[in-house]
Formats: sequence, C-alpha cells, structure tokens
Amino acid sequence: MEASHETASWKEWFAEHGPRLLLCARQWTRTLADAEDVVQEAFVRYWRHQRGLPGNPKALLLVSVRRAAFDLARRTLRRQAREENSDGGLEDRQGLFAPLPGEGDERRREIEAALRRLPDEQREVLVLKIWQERTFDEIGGILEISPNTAASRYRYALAALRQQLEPLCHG
Amino acid sequence: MDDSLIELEQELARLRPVKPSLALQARIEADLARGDSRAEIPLTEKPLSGARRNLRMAWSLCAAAAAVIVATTWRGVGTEPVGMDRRNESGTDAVVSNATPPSADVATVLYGASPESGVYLHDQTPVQQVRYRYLDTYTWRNPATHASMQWTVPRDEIRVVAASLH
Repeated sequence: MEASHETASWKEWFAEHGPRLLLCARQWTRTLADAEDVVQEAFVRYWRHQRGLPGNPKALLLVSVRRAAFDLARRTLRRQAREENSDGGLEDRQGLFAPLPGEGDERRREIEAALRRLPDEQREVLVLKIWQERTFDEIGGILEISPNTAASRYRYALAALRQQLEPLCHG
Repeated sequence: MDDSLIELEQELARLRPVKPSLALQARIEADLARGDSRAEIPLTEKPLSGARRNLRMAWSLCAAAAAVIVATTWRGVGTEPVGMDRRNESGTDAVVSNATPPSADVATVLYGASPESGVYLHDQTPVQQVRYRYLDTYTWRNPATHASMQWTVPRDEIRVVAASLH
C-alpha cells in the first residue's frame, strides 16, 4: 500500500516537473540520452534522500542535476569538447519544446535555434529563470555565481534572443 | 526591462519543454523499487559528513573489537573452574567450557543531549531531531571465581519530537 502510494506520488511529481528538469539537464549535456541519464541519477537521489530536507530541496535537485551532468562529461571526456565548441551544449537536434499547432511551430523552431546559439552561461541562467522559475539568488546558488551576475547574464540572454528573433507580431 | 523583453519572456514561458521518455520513467521506477527494500527509515536524513562517517565507523570497529575481547577473555576467566581441562596435540593448554555465560548488569549514564536539524517524516510531519549521548557500562561477574569484567561503550540515540519548522 505504502509502496504503491509512493509510486503514484513520484509519478505525479515527475509528470509535473520532469519536463522542465530534463530541459535543464539538456543545457549541461550534449545529447538527450545523456540528459535522461543525468535526470535519472539526480532524481532518484532526490526522491530517496533529499526531498524532505528543510530549505529548498528543489534547488538542491537542480544542483544535483548539474553536478551529475558535469561528472558524466568528465567521465566521457566530453567536457573539453563542449568548451571548445562554440555551439555550446544542446548539440543534438531533438526538440527542446513540445510542438505547437500550425504556424506557431515555426516560431518554436526559431526560438530553439536562437537558444542553441546563446553562450552556455547565458542560456543556463535563462532556462533556470524561465522554466524553473528560480530567483536570481537561487540561480546564483545553483550555478555558484553571484545573483547580480545571474541577473546580468539573464538580461544579456534576453537581449540576444530579441536580436535574433523576429517580433511575434508586426505592428 | 522594456516591454519587448517582457513580451519575449512571456512568449518563452508559454513553451512547454518536451516530456521525458517512458523509458526514463521505467528506469527511475526500477531504481526506486530497488531502493524501497533498503529505505525503511521513516526519516529523510542528511548524508553524514566524511568526519562523522569516519567517527561512526571508528566506534563500530571499537565495539566489535571489544565484543571479541569480551568473548575470548570470558572463556579464559569465567569457565576455568567448571570447564574441562585437557592438553591438545601441541602440548599447550586448551579449555573447553560447558558453563553457561552469566548475565551482565547494565548501567546507563546520559551525559549529553543536543538538538539537531529539523526534518520531515514521509507524511510531511515536521519533527526535530534530538541526539542523546549515553555511556553504557556492562559488568559481568562470575560468582564461582569472583572474577569480573566491565565494558563501557558510548551510544548515541536520536529521537524525534514534534516541532514546527518555519
């Protein structure tokens, strides 16, 4: 009974937060498969040991995802390739976001392409802010940078995206 | 921030990240199922720091060593009068005991209590952990020989009390 309740509970949690978590993991990994490995490792640790901790366990989960991604990169010697690659992470071309109906999907693809062109350090802040809804304080803690740095990277990222993207509505 | 950036933020926020694959969910389910049999502790505990882990391991080793010493020494001290002496093949003494080990008296001293971190039980009830530190002294006496042995070992006990964590 307890086990089935637990199973339902993690599945509900994962259905709600899993997609955003995976999106974050993809900032720090090169392929979707790597990102899923990283999410698996961090989520299982979180669910077993960390979710009841006082403070902000979800931020801890994001830290876990990031560390697991870096560990994976080190293990596979991909870190160096990532740093040398001006295209940053997100090397695989599988979609980041769910397709939109009609013409909206073209816009989605444009946004994805623009996101991929952002420098890593700007994109990770943007993803944490928009899709994880973290504060700059929390982002600073997760990325080990100051909140001011996080805020300025966020502004740079938005400005860069705006430059690359055509406005949604003309006039 | 100007309006166009705010609009862009809102547009980005409307995009829904793709869902993780069913294979990933199956792998997580398998991992968690493997862990269920081990995760019987109702509290979610912080992992021990390296120093604390080493301390705990050192105490465990001490306790194990003490238990071995008690067991081996008691054979020699307590059973000699009622045991059966015989010489083994190498000519050294060996004692085979047919005595039942006596029971031990236990005295417990509480020498410290300190509050630790607050945690949540699985049902999200907030509780405060309190660490109690004891010294347990076990005394064995053999009425036949009046030999006695004392073993003092520290023991930590963590209790939880209902708390409000804000």
